[in-house]
Amino acid sequence: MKRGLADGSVRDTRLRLLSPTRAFPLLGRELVEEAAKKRTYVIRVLFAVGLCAVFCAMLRGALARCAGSPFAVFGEGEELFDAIVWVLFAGIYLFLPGMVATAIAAERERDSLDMLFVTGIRPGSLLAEKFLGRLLPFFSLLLLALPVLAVAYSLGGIAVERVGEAFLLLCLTCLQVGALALLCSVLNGSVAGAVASAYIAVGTLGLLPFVAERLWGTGMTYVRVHGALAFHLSGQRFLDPGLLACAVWIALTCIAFLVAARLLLLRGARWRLGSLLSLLWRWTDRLVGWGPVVRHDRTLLPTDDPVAWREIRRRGVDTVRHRLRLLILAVGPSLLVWVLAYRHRPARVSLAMGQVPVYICERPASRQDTDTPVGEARSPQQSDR
Amino acid sequence: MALVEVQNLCVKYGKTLAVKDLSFDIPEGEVFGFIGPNGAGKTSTIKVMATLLRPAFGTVKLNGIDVTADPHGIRRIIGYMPDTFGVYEDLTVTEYLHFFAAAYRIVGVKRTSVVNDVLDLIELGHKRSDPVDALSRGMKQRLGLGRVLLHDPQFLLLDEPASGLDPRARIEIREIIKELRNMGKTILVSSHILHELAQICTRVGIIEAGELVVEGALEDIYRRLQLARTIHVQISNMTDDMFARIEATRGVASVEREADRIAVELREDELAVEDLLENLLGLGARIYMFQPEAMDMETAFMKLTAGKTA
Repeated sequence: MKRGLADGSVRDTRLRLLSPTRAFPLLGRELVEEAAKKRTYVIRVLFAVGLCAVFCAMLRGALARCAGSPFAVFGEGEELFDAIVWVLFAGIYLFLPGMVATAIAAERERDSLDMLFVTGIRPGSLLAEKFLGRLLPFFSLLLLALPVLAVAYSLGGIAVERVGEAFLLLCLTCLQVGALALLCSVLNGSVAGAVASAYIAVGTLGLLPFVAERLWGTGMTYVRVHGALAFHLSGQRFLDPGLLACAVWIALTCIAFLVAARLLLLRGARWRLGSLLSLLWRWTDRLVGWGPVVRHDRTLLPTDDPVAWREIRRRGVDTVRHRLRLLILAVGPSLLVWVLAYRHRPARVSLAMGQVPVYICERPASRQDTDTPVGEARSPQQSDR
Repeated sequence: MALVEVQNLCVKYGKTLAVKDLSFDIPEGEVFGFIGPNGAGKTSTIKVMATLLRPAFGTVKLNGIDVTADPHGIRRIIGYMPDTFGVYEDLTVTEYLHFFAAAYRIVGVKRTSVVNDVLDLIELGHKRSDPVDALSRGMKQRLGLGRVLLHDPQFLLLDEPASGLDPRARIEIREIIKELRNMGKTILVSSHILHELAQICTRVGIIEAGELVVEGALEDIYRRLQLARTIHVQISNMTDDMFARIEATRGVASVEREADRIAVELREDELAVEDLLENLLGLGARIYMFQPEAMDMETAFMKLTAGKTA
């Protein structure tokens, strides 16, 4: 496949893409590399299938509730729209940290970061290009939602402000989560450590509202620290004053993460999660029978051979399965805790977390609440549509 | 004129002093061999020159520019090849070189031309469309060497370029370095493969425990070491009397009788090798082997780093 990509007009296109302008060679290379990876397309297909599955399930439910009259489904678009937006938020929190966290750590792990530093690429530009190189493919993932969002919109019941708000908050969340993951990537010497710490950091960011709520109560503080998803949850609209506070908060944190990443980039990796993860891998390697063995190999290569070996230790490679296992280990327990906590104290957890599991639990309940018998009067807003 | 001036360089990692008060110059056009055991401070010194590490003390000037004062200016005139470096597995050889050429701000038609020239020099033209990951280690090393040549730097920093390579690949790298020397590049090359350095270096510096033990032209170092030269001689009519007379010869430090030969240790400043041969013939010896032990860099390195000098 790689050879095929290197041939003929495809090769020429790749070469052109490699340096779209004089200013961004690294961005070009990131996109070329991403395009050459099979996993890029696998993730896209899986994401699109998941998105369509959720949408079809929701649409089926809506149609079932309107079985008496096909026209009754008109005005039900908001629920479908919200569901898709929730899936997109979930996608951001689940996929983006893993995608961005490898940006600098992978260069460091394969000993290619120094080579970039001695070129004409400035450290700030290096970070920016790496950041964009990971965000752009992710934005293409989000674009997959456009067709289903269009169907939801065509059903009516969605205010234009709601669409604008969702778009703005999705973009801001991408930037915030991406910037935090990039900072983790700068701080870590290994891909595994970077990915794990990115998920931990993003999870911690999600826990902040709980702490804030404990310390200061709800209100504006709640909205500010809760971030985009909570704002979306709170039901406020595009032009509400709270949106500005939320956007400023997210933008400030995003800038803070990026500035910290820039300052720390040249100082090298600070965190060494490798040894801890190595123990974890050894443990999971015993439990998991499939996939590659990811722990460090203890067998040393010869050092006294006439041909002087530089590598004296084999290293685990960064693979999709490797990351998947990380994802399951890092996110799985948190999801479980959230879901269980929600079942006991729904109000507090939804206030504190406002995250994906809440949505998962909340959807059926909200559907029941919003069930509108066929032929009943709609809200004034719905009637306007 | 010295292209590289290192004065009182000190590098610290936390409390560990990796490089201690290192000073040396590299004149323009020279190939400087940087030799030392693992952990001696070679890579730290090279990283300071490559603007990747800030010195704790001292100055390093390249072409009169301080590396800490203008790192971006320095990066335009150096080509740095680290001891281990990764490649981008999803790129082809051409794409890899094009990427770095773009990173060095080489644009347009010039870039294509430069990439083709470099591919010719490193003899990877036939692999131009192959994925970088599919190359052998030797080819990857040549590709890495090609990468540092893209922007036509004045000064090349090659940190163990031949390590981990098979003999053929080592010879290929050596030939490329010779070619670069002929092109007038100033090169600093560190290596553990000392006899190969001896073939390409015009000057060497031996570093141990962060300190420069000796620095200069190879011949000067050999002379400065004043090592006793050992000559292996096989004599068909050797007698005890002849053995005693050889021992008594002025300039002979010692004679050892081995299974099929004698090993004569010579003080070369008192007796030249050819004079010893004449003396032996004068004693009536029938010689069928006379072999001075080669004075090589490995011997010098072992003697110096073992503290046997002077």
